Amino acid sequence: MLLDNKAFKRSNEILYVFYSADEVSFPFLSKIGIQKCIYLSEVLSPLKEIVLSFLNFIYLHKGPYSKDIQNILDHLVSMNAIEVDSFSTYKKNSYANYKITKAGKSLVENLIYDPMEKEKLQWIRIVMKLIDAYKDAYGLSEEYQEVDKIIGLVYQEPSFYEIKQRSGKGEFIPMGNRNTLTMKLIHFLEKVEETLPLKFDRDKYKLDLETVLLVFFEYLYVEYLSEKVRI
Amino acid sequence: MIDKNKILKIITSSPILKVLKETQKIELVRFYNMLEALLKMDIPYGEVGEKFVFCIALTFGEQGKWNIFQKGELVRKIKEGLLNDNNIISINPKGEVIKIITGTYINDYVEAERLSEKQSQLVFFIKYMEVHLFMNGKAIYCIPNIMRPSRVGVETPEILPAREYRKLITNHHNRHVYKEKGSFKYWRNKLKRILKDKPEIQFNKNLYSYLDLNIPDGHVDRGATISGMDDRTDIRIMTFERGEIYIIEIKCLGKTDSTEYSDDWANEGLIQLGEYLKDEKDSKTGVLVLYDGRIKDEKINWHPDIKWHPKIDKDPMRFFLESESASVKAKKIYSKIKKRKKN
Repeated sequence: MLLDNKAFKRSNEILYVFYSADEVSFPFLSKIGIQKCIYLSEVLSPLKEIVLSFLNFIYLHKGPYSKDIQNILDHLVSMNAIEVDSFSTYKKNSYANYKITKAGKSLVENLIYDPMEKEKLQWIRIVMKLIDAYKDAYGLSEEYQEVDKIIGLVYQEPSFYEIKQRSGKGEFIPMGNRNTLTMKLIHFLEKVEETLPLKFDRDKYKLDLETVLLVFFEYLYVEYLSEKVRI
Repeated sequence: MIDKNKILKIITSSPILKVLKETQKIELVRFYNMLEALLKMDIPYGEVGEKFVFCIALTFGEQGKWNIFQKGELVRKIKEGLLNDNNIISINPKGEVIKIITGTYINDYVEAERLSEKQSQLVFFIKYMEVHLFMNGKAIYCIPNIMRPSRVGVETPEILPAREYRKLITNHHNRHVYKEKGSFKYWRNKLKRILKDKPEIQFNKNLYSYLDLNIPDGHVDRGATISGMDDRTDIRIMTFERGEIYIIEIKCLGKTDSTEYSDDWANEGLIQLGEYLKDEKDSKTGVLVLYDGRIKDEKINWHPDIKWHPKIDKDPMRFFLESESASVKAKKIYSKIKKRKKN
Protein backbone atom coordinates (compact mmCIF):
# COMPACT_ATOMS: atom_id res chain seq x y z
CA MET A 1 0.00 0.00 0.00
CA LEU A 2 1.31 3.43 -0.91
CA LEU A 3 0.71 6.25 1.46
CA ASP A 4 0.67 9.80 0.25
CA ASN A 5 3.01 10.81 2.94
CA LYS A 6 6.33 12.53 2.38
CA ALA A 7 8.15 10.40 4.92
CA PHE A 8 6.97 7.23 3.26
CA LYS A 9 7.85 8.52 -0.17
CA ARG A 10 11.34 9.34 1.03
CA SER A 11 11.66 5.88 2.57
CA ASN A 12 10.67 4.35 -0.75
CA GLU A 13 13.22 6.41 -2.64
CA ILE A 14 16.00 5.48 -0.27
CA LEU A 15 15.02 1.88 -0.62
CA TYR A 16 15.25 2.22 -4.43
CA VAL A 17 18.79 3.47 -4.01
CA PHE A 18 19.68 0.37 -1.98
CA TYR A 19 17.87 -1.86 -4.46
CA SER A 20 19.79 -0.35 -7.41
CA ALA A 21 23.04 -0.51 -5.44
CA ASP A 22 22.46 -4.22 -5.00
CA GLU A 23 21.80 -4.60 -8.74
CA VAL A 24 25.15 -3.04 -9.63
CA SER A 25 26.83 -5.22 -6.99
CA PHE A 26 27.82 -2.56 -4.48
CA PRO A 27 28.53 -4.55 -1.33
CA PHE A 28 27.06 -1.78 0.83
CA LEU A 29 26.26 1.92 1.05
CA SER A 30 27.70 3.97 3.87
CA LYS A 31 25.80 6.75 5.55
CA ILE A 32 28.05 9.17 3.62
CA GLY A 33 27.58 7.37 0.32
CA ILE A 34 23.79 7.25 0.59
CA GLN A 35 23.67 11.03 1.09
CA LYS A 36 25.65 11.54 -2.12
CA CYS A 37 23.61 9.04 -4.16
CA ILE A 38 20.33 10.65 -3.10
CA TYR A 39 21.72 14.11 -3.72
CA LEU A 40 22.72 13.28 -7.31
CA SER A 41 19.40 11.52 -7.99
CA GLU A 42 17.55 14.53 -6.65
CA VAL A 43 19.55 17.32 -8.24
CA LEU A 44 19.39 15.70 -11.68
CA SER A 45 15.77 14.55 -11.49
CA PRO A 46 14.25 17.52 -13.38
CA LEU A 47 16.02 16.14 -16.43
CA LYS A 48 13.50 13.29 -16.46
CA GLU A 49 10.75 15.45 -15.00
CA ILE A 50 10.64 13.21 -11.97
CA VAL A 51 9.85 14.71 -8.60
CA LEU A 52 11.72 13.15 -5.72
CA SER A 53 10.90 14.05 -2.17
CA PHE A 54 14.22 15.37 -0.87
CA LEU A 55 14.23 19.10 -1.34
CA ASN A 56 16.12 20.07 1.76
CA PHE A 57 19.81 19.49 1.27
CA ILE A 58 22.09 21.95 2.98
CA TYR A 59 25.82 22.57 2.76
CA LEU A 60 27.12 21.01 5.96
CA HIS A 61 30.74 20.22 6.91
CA LYS A 62 32.19 19.54 3.44
CA GLY A 63 29.24 18.41 1.37
CA PRO A 64 25.50 18.36 0.73
CA TYR A 65 23.57 16.85 3.60
CA SER A 66 19.97 16.06 4.33
CA LYS A 67 19.16 15.41 7.97
CA ASP A 68 16.06 13.40 7.06
CA ILE A 69 18.13 10.67 5.49
CA GLN A 70 19.69 9.39 8.71
CA ASN A 71 16.28 9.23 10.41
CA ILE A 72 14.88 7.26 7.48
CA LEU A 73 17.85 4.88 7.51
CA ASP A 74 17.12 4.12 11.16
CA HIS A 75 13.46 3.65 10.32
CA LEU A 76 14.29 1.28 7.44
CA VAL A 77 16.60 -0.74 9.70
CA SER A 78 13.84 -1.05 12.29
CA MET A 79 11.54 -2.28 9.51
CA ASN A 80 14.17 -4.86 8.47
CA ALA A 81 14.17 -3.41 4.93
CA ILE A 82 17.89 -2.63 5.21
CA GLU A 83 20.51 -3.82 7.68
CA VAL A 84 23.87 -2.71 9.01
CA ASP A 85 26.51 -4.60 7.04
CA SER A 86 29.75 -3.29 8.55
CA PHE A 87 31.50 -0.16 9.80
CA SER A 88 34.07 2.07 8.10
CA THR A 89 36.42 4.49 9.79
CA TYR A 90 37.24 7.86 8.34
CA LYS A 91 39.23 10.50 10.25
CA LYS A 92 38.68 8.73 13.58
CA ASN A 93 34.90 8.58 13.01
CA SER A 94 33.12 5.33 12.53
CA TYR A 95 30.33 5.08 9.98
CA ALA A 96 27.74 2.37 9.51
CA ASN A 97 27.47 0.66 6.13
CA TYR A 98 24.03 -0.58 5.11
CA LYS A 99 22.65 -3.01 2.58
CA ILE A 100 19.18 -4.05 1.50
CA THR A 101 17.61 -7.18 2.99
CA LYS A 102 15.48 -9.80 1.24
CA ALA A 103 12.43 -8.21 2.83
CA GLY A 104 13.54 -4.82 1.51
CA LYS A 105 13.88 -6.19 -2.02
CA SER A 106 10.47 -7.75 -1.95
CA LEU A 107 9.05 -4.47 -0.65
CA VAL A 108 10.52 -2.65 -3.65
CA GLU A 109 9.17 -5.26 -6.03
CA ASN A 110 5.71 -4.59 -4.64
CA LEU A 111 6.06 -0.83 -4.64
CA ILE A 112 6.91 -0.68 -8.32
CA TYR A 113 3.51 -2.00 -9.33
CA ASP A 114 2.72 1.69 -9.20
CA PRO A 115 4.01 3.13 -12.51
CA MET A 116 5.17 6.35 -10.88
CA GLU A 117 7.22 4.44 -8.35
CA LYS A 118 8.61 2.26 -11.12
CA GLU A 119 9.68 5.36 -12.98
CA LYS A 120 11.46 6.64 -9.89
CA LEU A 121 13.27 3.33 -9.50
CA GLN A 122 14.32 3.41 -13.14
CA TRP A 123 15.67 6.90 -12.71
CA ILE A 124 17.60 6.04 -9.57
CA ARG A 125 18.88 2.90 -11.30
CA ILE A 126 20.45 5.01 -14.10
CA VAL A 127 22.08 7.36 -11.59
CA MET A 128 23.45 4.41 -9.60
CA LYS A 129 24.86 2.85 -12.76
CA LEU A 130 26.60 6.13 -13.53
CA ILE A 131 27.99 6.27 -10.02
CA ASP A 132 29.25 2.75 -10.54
CA ALA A 133 30.83 3.80 -13.86
CA TYR A 134 32.79 6.59 -12.19
CA LYS A 135 33.52 5.35 -8.70
CA ASP A 136 36.70 3.54 -9.77
CA ALA A 137 37.92 6.24 -12.16
CA TYR A 138 41.55 7.24 -11.77
CA GLY A 139 42.38 9.83 -9.14
CA LEU A 140 39.20 9.72 -7.08
CA SER A 141 39.86 9.87 -3.40
CA GLU A 142 41.71 6.82 -2.15
CA GLU A 143 40.89 7.58 1.46
CA TYR A 144 37.30 6.55 0.86
CA GLN A 145 35.88 3.16 0.00
CA GLU A 146 33.44 1.99 -2.63
CA VAL A 147 30.66 4.49 -3.47
CA ASP A 148 32.04 7.05 -1.01
CA LYS A 149 34.81 7.68 -3.57
CA ILE A 150 32.38 9.75 -5.65
CA ILE A 151 32.40 12.43 -2.97
CA GLY A 152 34.97 14.31 -5.06
CA LEU A 153 32.53 14.40 -7.97
CA VAL A 154 29.59 15.53 -5.86
CA TYR A 155 31.64 18.48 -4.60
CA GLN A 156 31.96 19.63 -8.22
CA GLU A 157 28.21 19.58 -8.81
CA PRO A 158 27.57 23.18 -9.99
CA SER A 159 24.78 24.23 -7.57
CA PHE A 160 26.69 22.88 -4.59
CA TYR A 161 30.03 24.18 -5.86
CA GLU A 162 28.67 27.72 -6.12
CA ILE A 163 27.61 27.69 -2.47
CA LYS A 164 30.87 26.10 -1.39
CA GLN A 165 32.85 28.79 -3.19
CA ARG A 166 31.22 31.50 -1.12
CA SER A 167 31.53 29.39 2.05
CA GLY A 168 27.77 29.36 2.52
CA LYS A 169 27.73 26.72 5.24
CA GLY A 170 24.24 25.85 6.42
CA GLU A 171 22.67 27.24 3.24
CA PHE A 172 19.98 25.30 1.43
CA ILE A 173 21.09 23.98 -1.93
CA PRO A 174 18.53 25.03 -4.53
CA MET A 175 16.88 22.14 -6.32
CA GLY A 176 14.43 21.78 -9.17
CA ASN A 177 14.55 25.49 -9.89
CA ARG A 178 15.21 26.32 -13.52
CA ASN A 179 17.67 29.02 -12.56
CA THR A 180 20.10 26.87 -10.64
CA LEU A 181 23.53 26.37 -12.15
CA THR A 182 22.81 22.64 -12.41
CA MET A 183 19.69 23.29 -14.46
CA LYS A 184 21.54 25.77 -16.64
CA LEU A 185 24.12 23.11 -17.33
CA ILE A 186 21.45 20.51 -18.07
CA HIS A 187 19.58 22.82 -20.43
CA PHE A 188 22.83 23.65 -22.16
CA LEU A 189 23.50 19.95 -22.66
CA GLU A 190 19.99 19.26 -23.92
CA LYS A 191 20.52 21.61 -26.86
CA VAL A 192 24.28 21.62 -26.98
CA GLU A 193 24.49 21.07 -30.74
CA GLU A 194 22.80 24.43 -31.33
CA THR A 195 25.65 26.25 -29.63
CA LEU A 196 28.19 24.93 -32.12
CA PRO A 197 28.98 26.99 -35.23
CA LEU A 198 27.19 25.74 -38.37
CA LYS A 199 30.47 24.41 -39.68
CA PHE A 200 30.17 21.53 -37.18
CA ASP A 201 28.06 18.50 -38.03
CA ARG A 202 25.42 19.45 -35.45
CA ASP A 203 23.38 16.26 -35.79
CA LYS A 204 26.39 14.27 -34.66
CA TYR A 205 26.45 16.09 -31.34
CA LYS A 206 22.77 15.85 -30.41
CA LEU A 207 22.63 14.10 -27.05
CA ASP A 208 19.98 11.71 -25.76
CA LEU A 209 19.04 11.61 -22.08
CA GLU A 210 21.58 8.97 -21.10
CA THR A 211 24.38 10.78 -22.91
CA VAL A 212 23.40 14.07 -21.27
CA LEU A 213 23.86 12.33 -17.93
CA LEU A 214 27.15 10.83 -19.01
CA VAL A 215 28.48 14.19 -20.14
CA PHE A 216 27.28 15.71 -16.86
CA PHE A 217 29.27 13.12 -14.87
CA GLU A 218 32.26 13.45 -17.17
CA TYR A 219 32.17 17.21 -16.62
CA LEU A 220 32.18 16.72 -12.84
CA TYR A 221 35.09 14.30 -13.18
CA VAL A 222 37.08 16.61 -15.45
CA GLU A 223 36.49 19.52 -13.05
CA TYR A 224 37.63 17.33 -10.17
CA LEU A 225 40.85 16.37 -12.01
CA SER A 226 41.46 19.98 -13.08
CA GLU A 227 41.15 21.14 -9.47
CA LYS A 228 43.71 18.53 -8.45
CA VAL A 229 46.10 19.78 -11.15
CA ARG A 230 45.62 23.37 -9.97
CA ILE A 231 46.38 22.39 -6.38
CA MET B 1 30.20 29.61 -13.82
CA ILE B 2 29.92 26.73 -16.22
CA ASP B 3 32.79 26.36 -18.62
CA LYS B 4 30.91 25.81 -21.89
CA ASN B 5 34.05 25.27 -23.92
CA LYS B 6 35.02 22.48 -21.58
CA ILE B 7 31.70 20.76 -22.18
CA LEU B 8 31.96 21.21 -25.94
CA LYS B 9 35.45 19.81 -25.79
CA ILE B 10 34.25 16.75 -23.87
CA ILE B 11 31.41 16.19 -26.33
CA THR B 12 33.46 16.58 -29.49
CA SER B 13 36.75 14.99 -28.47
CA SER B 14 36.31 12.61 -25.58
CA PRO B 15 37.09 9.09 -26.84
CA ILE B 16 34.38 7.52 -24.73
CA LEU B 17 31.75 9.73 -26.30
CA LYS B 18 33.00 9.01 -29.78
CA VAL B 19 32.43 5.29 -29.41
CA LEU B 20 29.21 5.13 -27.46
CA LYS B 21 26.82 2.54 -28.79
CA GLU B 22 23.10 2.96 -28.43
CA THR B 23 22.52 0.45 -25.68
CA GLN B 24 25.73 0.01 -23.75
CA LYS B 25 26.82 3.55 -23.08
CA ILE B 26 27.28 3.42 -19.33
CA GLU B 27 28.99 0.00 -19.48
CA LEU B 28 31.47 1.37 -21.98
CA VAL B 29 32.27 4.40 -19.89
CA ARG B 30 32.72 2.21 -16.83
CA PHE B 31 35.09 -0.02 -18.77
CA TYR B 32 37.11 2.93 -20.06
CA ASN B 33 37.37 4.45 -16.58
CA MET B 34 38.51 1.19 -15.06
CA LEU B 35 41.02 0.51 -17.83
CA GLU B 36 42.50 3.97 -17.47
CA ALA B 37 42.78 3.55 -13.70
CA LEU B 38 44.37 0.10 -14.13
CA LEU B 39 46.98 1.38 -16.59
CA LYS B 40 47.75 4.46 -14.54
CA MET B 41 47.92 2.88 -11.13
CA ASP B 42 48.45 -0.85 -11.12
CA ILE B 43 51.11 -1.63 -13.72
CA PRO B 44 54.76 -1.84 -12.62
CA TYR B 45 56.04 -0.74 -16.05
CA GLY B 46 59.64 -1.19 -15.03
CA GLU B 47 59.03 -4.86 -14.25
CA VAL B 48 56.76 -5.85 -17.15
CA GLY B 49 58.64 -3.70 -19.70
CA GLU B 50 58.74 -5.09 -23.24
CA LYS B 51 56.21 -7.80 -22.46
CA PHE B 52 53.48 -5.24 -21.95
CA VAL B 53 52.10 -5.30 -25.50
CA PHE B 54 48.58 -6.50 -26.11
CA CYS B 55 45.25 -5.85 -27.75
CA ILE B 56 41.87 -5.80 -26.12
CA ALA B 57 38.92 -6.69 -28.33
CA LEU B 58 35.80 -5.64 -26.48
CA THR B 59 33.03 -8.20 -26.78
CA PHE B 60 29.52 -7.80 -25.43
CA GLY B 61 27.26 -10.41 -23.96
CA GLU B 62 29.57 -13.25 -23.02
CA GLN B 63 30.87 -14.19 -19.58
CA GLY B 64 34.56 -14.50 -18.85
CA LYS B 65 36.88 -16.61 -16.77
CA TRP B 66 39.13 -14.11 -15.02
CA ASN B 67 39.02 -10.36 -14.66
CA ILE B 68 41.75 -7.95 -15.75
CA PHE B 69 40.50 -5.42 -13.20
CA GLN B 70 41.09 -7.76 -10.29
CA LYS B 71 44.10 -6.30 -8.51
CA GLY B 72 47.40 -7.66 -9.80
CA GLU B 73 45.76 -10.28 -12.02
CA LEU B 74 46.77 -8.90 -15.44
CA VAL B 75 50.37 -8.33 -14.40
CA ARG B 76 50.57 -11.81 -12.91
CA LYS B 77 49.25 -13.40 -16.11
CA ILE B 78 51.68 -11.39 -18.26
CA LYS B 79 54.62 -12.35 -16.05
CA GLU B 80 53.57 -15.98 -16.39
CA GLY B 81 53.88 -15.53 -20.16
CA LEU B 82 50.19 -15.81 -21.00
CA LEU B 83 50.50 -13.19 -23.74
CA ASN B 84 53.91 -14.19 -25.09
CA ASP B 85 52.68 -15.86 -28.28
CA ASN B 86 49.12 -14.62 -28.68
CA ASN B 87 48.29 -11.19 -27.39
CA ILE B 88 44.70 -10.44 -28.38
CA ILE B 89 42.38 -10.68 -25.41
CA SER B 90 38.67 -10.84 -25.99
CA ILE B 91 36.99 -9.35 -22.95
CA ASN B 92 33.57 -8.11 -21.93
CA PRO B 93 32.89 -4.62 -20.51
CA LYS B 94 33.13 -5.97 -16.96
CA GLY B 95 36.76 -6.80 -17.71
CA GLU B 96 36.20 -10.55 -17.74
CA VAL B 97 38.48 -12.40 -20.15
CA ILE B 98 36.38 -14.51 -22.51
CA LYS B 99 39.34 -15.94 -24.43
CA ILE B 100 42.81 -15.29 -25.77
CA ILE B 101 42.58 -15.28 -29.55
CA THR B 102 45.14 -17.73 -30.87
CA GLY B 103 47.27 -17.56 -34.01
CA THR B 104 47.86 -13.81 -34.01
CA TYR B 105 50.32 -11.48 -32.36
CA ILE B 106 49.82 -7.73 -32.70
CA ASN B 107 53.10 -5.82 -32.69
CA ASP B 108 52.04 -2.28 -33.45
CA TYR B 109 49.06 -0.02 -33.77
CA VAL B 110 48.85 -0.39 -37.55
CA GLU B 111 48.13 -4.09 -37.10
CA ALA B 112 45.68 -3.24 -34.33
CA GLU B 113 43.85 -0.86 -36.64
CA ARG B 114 43.49 -3.67 -39.19
CA LEU B 115 42.27 -6.03 -36.50
CA SER B 116 39.54 -3.57 -35.51
CA GLU B 117 38.44 -3.40 -39.15
CA LYS B 118 38.22 -7.18 -39.37
CA GLN B 119 36.51 -7.62 -36.05
CA SER B 120 34.17 -4.61 -36.46
CA GLN B 121 34.51 -3.84 -32.83
CA LEU B 122 36.22 -1.71 -30.30
CA VAL B 123 39.90 -2.49 -30.05
CA PHE B 124 42.42 -1.10 -27.58
CA PHE B 125 46.10 -1.51 -28.40
CA ILE B 126 48.40 -1.11 -25.43
CA LYS B 127 52.15 -0.97 -25.80
CA TYR B 128 54.03 -0.09 -22.66
CA MET B 129 52.56 3.33 -21.70
CA GLU B 130 51.04 4.00 -25.12
CA VAL B 131 47.32 3.42 -25.68
CA HIS B 132 45.41 3.44 -28.98
CA LEU B 133 41.70 3.06 -29.48
CA PHE B 134 40.12 1.89 -32.74
CA MET B 135 36.63 1.16 -33.92
CA ASN B 136 35.68 -0.46 -37.21
CA GLY B 137 39.16 0.12 -38.59
CA LYS B 138 39.19 3.79 -37.65
CA ALA B 139 41.60 5.36 -35.19
CA ILE B 140 39.53 7.01 -32.47
CA TYR B 141 42.08 8.15 -29.94
CA CYS B 142 45.73 7.85 -29.06
CA ILE B 143 47.39 8.44 -25.71
CA PRO B 144 51.18 8.62 -26.23
CA ASN B 145 51.84 8.23 -22.52
CA ILE B 146 49.14 7.07 -20.13
CA MET B 147 51.10 8.36 -17.15
CA ARG B 148 50.58 11.92 -18.30
CA PRO B 149 47.20 13.69 -18.02
CA SER B 150 45.09 12.10 -20.75
CA ARG B 151 41.49 13.04 -20.01
CA VAL B 152 39.92 15.41 -22.52
CA GLY B 153 38.91 18.67 -20.84
CA VAL B 154 41.30 18.56 -17.87
CA GLU B 155 43.10 21.86 -17.40
CA THR B 156 46.78 20.98 -17.51
CA PRO B 157 49.52 23.63 -17.35
CA GLU B 158 50.12 23.00 -21.06
CA ILE B 159 46.72 23.97 -22.45
CA LEU B 160 46.59 26.97 -24.76
CA PRO B 161 43.93 28.41 -27.06
CA ALA B 162 43.97 27.52 -30.77
CA ARG B 163 45.37 30.92 -31.76
CA GLU B 164 48.55 29.94 -29.89
CA TYR B 165 49.14 27.10 -32.32
CA ARG B 166 52.84 27.97 -32.74
CA LYS B 167 53.51 27.63 -29.03
CA LEU B 168 51.50 24.42 -28.92
CA ILE B 169 53.41 22.87 -31.82
CA THR B 170 56.71 23.92 -30.25
CA ASN B 171 55.70 22.53 -26.86
CA HIS B 172 54.77 19.25 -28.52
CA HIS B 173 58.17 19.11 -30.17
CA ASN B 174 60.03 19.88 -26.96
CA ARG B 175 58.11 17.35 -24.95
CA HIS B 176 57.53 14.47 -27.34
CA VAL B 177 59.73 14.78 -30.42
CA TYR B 178 63.06 16.27 -29.36
CA LYS B 179 65.62 13.46 -29.09
CA GLU B 180 62.78 10.91 -28.99
CA LYS B 181 62.19 12.02 -25.42
CA GLY B 182 58.68 10.61 -25.16
CA SER B 183 57.41 7.20 -26.12
CA PHE B 184 57.33 8.32 -29.79
CA LYS B 185 60.31 6.77 -31.65
CA TYR B 186 60.88 7.84 -35.24
CA TRP B 187 64.48 6.78 -36.02
CA ARG B 188 65.11 3.41 -37.61
CA ASN B 189 68.85 4.04 -37.62
CA LYS B 190 69.95 7.03 -35.62
CA LEU B 191 73.60 6.83 -36.60
CA LYS B 192 72.83 6.92 -40.34
CA ARG B 193 69.86 9.24 -39.80
CA ILE B 194 67.35 6.87 -41.38
CA LEU B 195 63.76 7.40 -40.35
CA LYS B 196 61.13 4.73 -39.85
CA ASP B 197 58.67 4.11 -42.68
CA LYS B 198 55.85 6.57 -43.32
CA PRO B 199 57.23 9.10 -40.86
CA GLU B 200 54.65 11.79 -41.66
CA ILE B 201 51.81 9.59 -40.47
CA GLN B 202 53.60 9.04 -37.17
CA PHE B 203 54.28 12.74 -36.64
CA ASN B 204 50.74 13.57 -37.67
CA LYS B 205 49.16 11.15 -35.19
CA ASN B 206 51.42 12.23 -32.38
CA LEU B 207 50.92 15.96 -32.90
CA TYR B 208 47.18 15.48 -33.36
CA SER B 209 46.86 13.68 -30.00
CA TYR B 210 48.81 16.42 -28.28
CA LEU B 211 46.78 19.25 -29.80
CA ASP B 212 43.48 17.49 -29.19
CA LEU B 213 44.27 17.22 -25.52
CA ASN B 214 45.76 20.67 -25.10
CA ILE B 215 43.49 22.96 -27.12
CA PRO B 216 40.48 23.79 -24.93
CA ASP B 217 38.57 26.10 -27.29
CA GLY B 218 38.25 24.01 -30.42
CA HIS B 219 37.80 20.62 -31.98
CA VAL B 220 40.90 19.04 -33.47
CA ASP B 221 40.66 16.40 -36.17
CA ARG B 222 42.80 14.55 -38.67
CA GLY B 223 42.02 13.99 -42.32
CA ALA B 224 39.11 16.43 -42.32
CA THR B 225 37.80 17.29 -45.77
CA ILE B 226 37.93 20.79 -47.14
CA SER B 227 34.41 22.21 -47.71
CA GLY B 228 32.91 20.57 -50.76
CA MET B 229 36.19 18.98 -51.89
CA ASP B 230 37.85 15.61 -51.61
CA ASP B 231 41.09 17.05 -50.23
CA ARG B 232 41.92 16.08 -46.69
CA THR B 233 43.94 18.21 -44.33
CA ASP B 234 46.58 16.70 -42.05
CA ILE B 235 45.30 18.41 -38.93
CA ARG B 236 42.42 20.86 -38.64
CA ILE B 237 41.40 22.89 -35.62
CA MET B 238 37.90 24.36 -35.60
CA THR B 239 37.08 26.78 -32.78
CA PHE B 240 33.83 26.43 -30.84
CA GLU B 241 33.02 30.10 -30.66
CA ARG B 242 33.37 31.30 -34.23
CA GLY B 243 34.08 28.17 -36.21
CA GLU B 244 37.46 29.57 -37.28
CA ILE B 245 39.67 27.00 -38.92
CA TYR B 246 43.40 26.49 -38.51
CA ILE B 247 45.04 24.07 -40.91
CA ILE B 248 48.31 22.30 -40.16
CA GLU B 249 50.21 20.62 -42.97
CA ILE B 250 52.96 18.25 -41.92
CA LYS B 251 55.93 17.27 -44.03
CA CYS B 252 58.80 15.11 -42.98
CA LEU B 253 62.16 15.57 -44.64
CA GLY B 254 65.00 13.08 -44.71
CA LYS B 255 65.58 9.48 -45.60
CA THR B 256 63.64 6.30 -44.99
CA ASP B 257 64.56 2.87 -46.41
CA SER B 258 62.49 3.56 -49.49
CA THR B 259 62.30 7.34 -49.96
CA GLU B 260 64.21 10.55 -49.53
CA TYR B 261 62.61 13.97 -49.21
CA SER B 262 64.24 17.37 -49.19
CA ASP B 263 63.48 20.99 -50.12
CA ASP B 264 61.14 20.04 -52.98
CA TRP B 265 58.90 18.20 -50.55
CA ALA B 266 58.70 21.26 -48.31
CA ASN B 267 57.87 23.47 -51.31
CA GLU B 268 55.13 21.06 -52.37
CA GLY B 269 53.75 21.24 -48.83
CA LEU B 270 53.56 24.99 -49.11
CA ILE B 271 51.61 24.81 -52.39
CA GLN B 272 49.31 22.14 -50.96
CA LEU B 273 48.58 24.28 -47.91
CA GLY B 274 47.87 27.29 -50.15
CA GLU B 275 45.32 25.20 -52.08
CA TYR B 276 43.57 24.15 -48.88
CA LEU B 277 43.37 27.73 -47.68
CA LYS B 278 42.04 28.87 -51.03
CA ASP B 279 39.18 26.35 -50.84
CA GLU B 280 38.41 26.58 -47.13
CA LYS B 281 36.53 29.85 -46.78
CA ASP B 282 36.40 29.78 -42.98
CA SER B 283 40.12 29.30 -42.60
CA LYS B 284 41.89 31.67 -40.28
CA THR B 285 45.41 30.55 -41.06
CA GLY B 286 47.51 27.61 -42.17
CA VAL B 287 50.94 26.57 -41.04
CA LEU B 288 53.47 24.23 -42.56
CA VAL B 289 55.28 22.09 -40.01
CA LEU B 290 58.48 20.39 -41.11
CA TYR B 291 60.13 17.59 -39.18
CA ASP B 292 63.62 17.67 -40.63
CA GLY B 293 65.56 14.42 -40.59
CA ARG B 294 68.09 15.44 -43.27
CA ILE B 295 71.77 14.96 -42.58
CA LYS B 296 72.50 18.64 -42.09
CA ASP B 297 70.55 21.25 -40.20
CA GLU B 298 70.07 23.62 -43.13
CA LYS B 299 67.46 26.21 -44.01
CA ILE B 300 64.89 25.33 -46.66
CA ASN B 301 65.34 26.86 -50.10
CA TRP B 302 61.88 28.19 -50.82
CA HIS B 303 61.24 28.38 -54.54
CA PRO B 304 61.02 32.07 -55.45
CA ASP B 305 58.14 31.55 -57.89
CA ILE B 306 55.76 30.07 -55.33
CA LYS B 307 52.95 32.44 -54.41
CA TRP B 308 52.40 32.28 -50.68
CA HIS B 309 48.69 32.34 -49.89
CA PRO B 310 47.95 35.44 -47.76
CA LYS B 311 46.63 33.27 -44.92
CA ILE B 312 49.73 31.07 -44.75
CA ASP B 313 51.84 31.59 -41.67
CA LYS B 314 54.87 33.24 -43.24
CA ASP B 315 57.23 31.44 -40.93
CA PRO B 316 56.92 27.67 -41.50
CA MET B 317 57.95 25.75 -38.43
CA ARG B 318 60.98 23.54 -39.00
CA PHE B 319 62.20 21.17 -36.33
CA PHE B 320 65.56 19.55 -36.95
CA LEU B 321 65.42 16.00 -35.65
CA GLU B 322 68.35 15.47 -33.31
CA SER B 323 70.02 12.10 -33.49
CA GLU B 324 73.18 12.72 -31.52
CA SER B 325 73.62 12.38 -27.82
CA ALA B 326 74.69 15.49 -25.92
CA SER B 327 78.22 14.15 -25.43
CA VAL B 328 78.80 13.43 -29.15
CA LYS B 329 77.35 16.81 -30.07
CA ALA B 330 79.56 18.54 -27.48
CA LYS B 331 82.66 16.84 -28.89
CA LYS B 332 81.88 18.05 -32.40
CA ILE B 333 81.16 21.60 -31.30
CA TYR B 334 84.32 21.74 -29.25
CA SER B 335 86.52 20.44 -32.05
CA LYS B 336 85.03 23.13 -34.36
CA ILE B 337 85.85 25.79 -31.78
CA LYS B 338 89.43 24.52 -31.52
CA LYS B 339 89.81 24.48 -35.31
CA ARG B 340 88.57 28.06 -35.56
CA LYS B 341 91.07 29.15 -32.94
CA LYS B 342 94.00 27.54 -34.79
CA ASN B 343 92.99 29.25 -38.03
